[in-house]
Amino acid sequence: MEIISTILNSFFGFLFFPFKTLAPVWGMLFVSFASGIIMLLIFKATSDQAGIKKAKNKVRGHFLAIRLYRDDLGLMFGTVKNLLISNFLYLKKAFRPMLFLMIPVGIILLHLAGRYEKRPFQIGETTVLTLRLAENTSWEQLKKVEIDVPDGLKLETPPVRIVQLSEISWRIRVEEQGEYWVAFKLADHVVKKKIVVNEILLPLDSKVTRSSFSTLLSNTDESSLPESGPFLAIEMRYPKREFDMFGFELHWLLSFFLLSLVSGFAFKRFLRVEF
Amino acid sequence: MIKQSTLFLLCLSLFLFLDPQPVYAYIGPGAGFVFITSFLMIIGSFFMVLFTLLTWPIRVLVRAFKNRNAFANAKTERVVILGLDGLEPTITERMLDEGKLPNLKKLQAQGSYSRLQTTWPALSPVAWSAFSTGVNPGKNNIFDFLSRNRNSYLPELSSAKISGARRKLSIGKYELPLGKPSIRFLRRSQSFWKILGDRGIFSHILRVPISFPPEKFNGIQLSAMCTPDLWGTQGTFSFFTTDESIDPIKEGGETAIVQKKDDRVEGFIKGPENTITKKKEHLKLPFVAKILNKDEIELTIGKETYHLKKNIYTDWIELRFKAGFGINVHGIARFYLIETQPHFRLYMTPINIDPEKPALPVSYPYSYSVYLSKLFGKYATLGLAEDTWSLNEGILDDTAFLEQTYMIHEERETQFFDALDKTKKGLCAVVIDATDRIQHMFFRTLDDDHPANKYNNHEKHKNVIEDLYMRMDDLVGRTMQKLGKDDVFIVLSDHGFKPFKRGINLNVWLQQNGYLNLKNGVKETGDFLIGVDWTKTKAYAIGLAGIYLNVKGREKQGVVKAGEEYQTLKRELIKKLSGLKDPQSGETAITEMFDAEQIYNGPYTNNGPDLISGYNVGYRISWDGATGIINGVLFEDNTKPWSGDHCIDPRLVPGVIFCNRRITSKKPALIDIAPTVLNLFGVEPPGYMEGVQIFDEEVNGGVDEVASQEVSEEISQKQIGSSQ
Repeated sequence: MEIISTILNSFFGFLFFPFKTLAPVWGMLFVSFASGIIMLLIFKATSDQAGIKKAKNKVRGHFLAIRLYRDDLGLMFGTVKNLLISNFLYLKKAFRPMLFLMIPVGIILLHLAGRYEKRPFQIGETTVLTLRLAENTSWEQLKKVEIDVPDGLKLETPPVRIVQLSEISWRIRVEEQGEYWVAFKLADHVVKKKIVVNEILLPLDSKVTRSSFSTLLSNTDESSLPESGPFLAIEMRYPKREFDMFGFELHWLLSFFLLSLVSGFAFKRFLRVEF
Repeated sequence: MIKQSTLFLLCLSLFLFLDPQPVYAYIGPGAGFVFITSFLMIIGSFFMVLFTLLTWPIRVLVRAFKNRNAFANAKTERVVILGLDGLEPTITERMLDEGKLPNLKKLQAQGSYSRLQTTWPALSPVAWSAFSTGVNPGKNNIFDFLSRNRNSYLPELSSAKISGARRKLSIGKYELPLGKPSIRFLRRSQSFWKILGDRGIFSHILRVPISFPPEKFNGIQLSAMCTPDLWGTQGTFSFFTTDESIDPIKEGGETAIVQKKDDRVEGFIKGPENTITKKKEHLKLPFVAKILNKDEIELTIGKETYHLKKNIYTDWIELRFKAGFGINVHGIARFYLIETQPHFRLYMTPINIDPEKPALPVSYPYSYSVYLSKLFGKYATLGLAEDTWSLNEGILDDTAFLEQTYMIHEERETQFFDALDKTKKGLCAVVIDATDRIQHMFFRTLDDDHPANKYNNHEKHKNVIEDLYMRMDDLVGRTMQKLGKDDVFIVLSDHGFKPFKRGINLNVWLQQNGYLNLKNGVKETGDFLIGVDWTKTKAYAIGLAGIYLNVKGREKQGVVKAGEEYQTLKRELIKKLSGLKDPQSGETAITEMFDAEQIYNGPYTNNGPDLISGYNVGYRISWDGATGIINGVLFEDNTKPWSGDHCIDPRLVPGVIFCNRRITSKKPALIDIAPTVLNLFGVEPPGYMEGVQIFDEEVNGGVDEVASQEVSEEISQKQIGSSQ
């Protein structure tokens, strides 16, 4: 699983590399437009293009019929009914390619979310770092957990242990720019969590867990936690990114949606895709 | 069984659904494309409906003000006319007697059957124009497929004249039109559906000949006969072959010699003239045919690739010709792979105007042709869409021609039934061409002695005509199922059909008898009377209908003085030609020549032939005679597959009429239909109309249910008997 994740991360890292130091909107523009085109190609390859064209034509035919028979209300309403049925049949035709598209779109969105949902810390900001251990970890065991915070980060509070939840939390303040690895140790078991303090566009992961199917979808270079150790997860919160689209504050998801659609409609004819 | 990949896809999709973040996939571009498109359509429809509903009361008020109650005096609220072009009474009557046409029999029992008097001459454009207008050609100006130019003596299409924009802007090699091309409808008078429309009665008029350009009226019309192809002709097919030794195609098609390299054949499709360049060269569309094996090719046109199998027609393929400045001309054609070995032979139908993006209007309103195409797929728009020339020239065989004709017929049926469903009140009229085209091409199968059988195998399709009639009967049956008790249903043909065994070249006769002379040194002419010395010519023939006199002051180089000389010459020709014998058989070839002035009346009489030919059964003007070739051959065998015709003495080729009402007229005629339908809707026929009503006042009584029931029972008994 981690191989897939690594390949995907490298691929998206490569894609975003030119835009790393630029304003986030440029990366979004590029990825959205590229996504629109890729989605078109996938849609074309996985759909019954002739069937979709036929279904769309039917809808348009009924649409024209409304105009042609506008003086006969009975006919017009009958046509509207046919139009709705045809529209449903069109959606049915488009369902299969939509299923196929969900996979790449899901992956793209995960990697966009990693970059655009949150931003790295800036100097002076704080975050709560929570370590979750296996259920029923004893108080004594919790007390033995050690944290190693590198220079550039500062522990602001002593550990807060909640034995019922088997978790420990610390508050950390960032003091210098950089990428830091905070280590947690219990007996011979050591795990690490990356904390990014920067102003560039990077993939961020708030949570590290044990390896599972969902690690396939991880978008950073952080390794999953070992299966056999006492640790279940390390969690923290990056600040929310305010996405600015040439002066308009738009949610990154909406921006992606709009831009990829524009791209799809723009290249539709060129790529001869019917949708 | 669900495929493994689909199962994997479903599982993965489910996972993506369940994971909190990938819910975004719902609104990804993939789904977005579809939902936006779908949403826009629904929203568009919503606003269209809303607008229509809001304006509906206004329209109703306007209509009420203009037409009061359009159906107030109507004897019926719906009239359906099914025109079966060329349905021959003798064949129909025989098959009725044999019980092979049960639906027509039922219709006859419900009302009437009669022979229907056709027009002078018995030609579809003339006959259907009389049907539409209720007047003779002297008033509607349609005398033949072709008319002649009085200045150049060249033939011209009789029903429409297309000319480019008057003003043009010249830029380098381009000549940009500043305005639309002009398309003039040359048929005069007005159709009865126009009169109905003016009274607020809506009509669907589908494929009634001589309807290009389509008329603007309160109704819907789909153009038919005389709608050109993209080349501007009445239908020119293309034949692509590597065989350089092939005889050139004489009429109706063009051969394109293509080159074969290994398994690739390259060529180009000839498109319309590029009207925005000064040179007016034909546009070209390159194609590549990759030979996969002896029975299959891959045909690539532009960016699209099509898989063709031997002896199977493609669907309609869109052809886009780029004229420049972003202007495209759209056409459609079907391809038919004849063989790949030893020679590559590929047939392409004439390039029809694309009904979805028509280069010229083929319907009224304009959007109707688009509507039909969107709803039912592309369809033939060419006036004479069934490619008879390709069979005549031996490019297609009988089977391929039949298949093409019935494919087109299916399109027409679909369109007709859609129109019928949408005609709740008013008129729905359609003309079916398959009856005419198949009889033209297969009449030889009814007669073993037909000269055309010397070169064409007629055994395989011996029953094609009967099969055609039975198919039409089935169409009648399906139509009847959709009709209500009070609907008036008329099935009619514009003329009948007879064998065409021998051709007469009237120009040769005129030359041999001193009425037509060639220029010095000219022994034979090519097409269109080129080489005739007009200063020494008194009479000539062009087209199918008859003879024109070269009248001084009317024709540019006229020599016959109007008045006594003109009348004397006519009488002389009538006398000499009436009863003309065929020296080979001794049979009478021309029963009578008719004086047009005795037949026609109206302001356009002078535009038609001066004499109308009344050929005997088995005869017609020869192929060369019709196109103005003078080659010394007066009579000749017709050996072409085009073996049946109707351009003979009109008294010998009446049509048929069936109706679910009793026809009381003793001699119903095609010209009577217009006033009859107007009367059915309670509209007084205009005074200039010549026809008379064929029903009496009982027409309102509905169908004769008892008689209908008796026939149904009789047919059922026969069917039970035959199945036992």
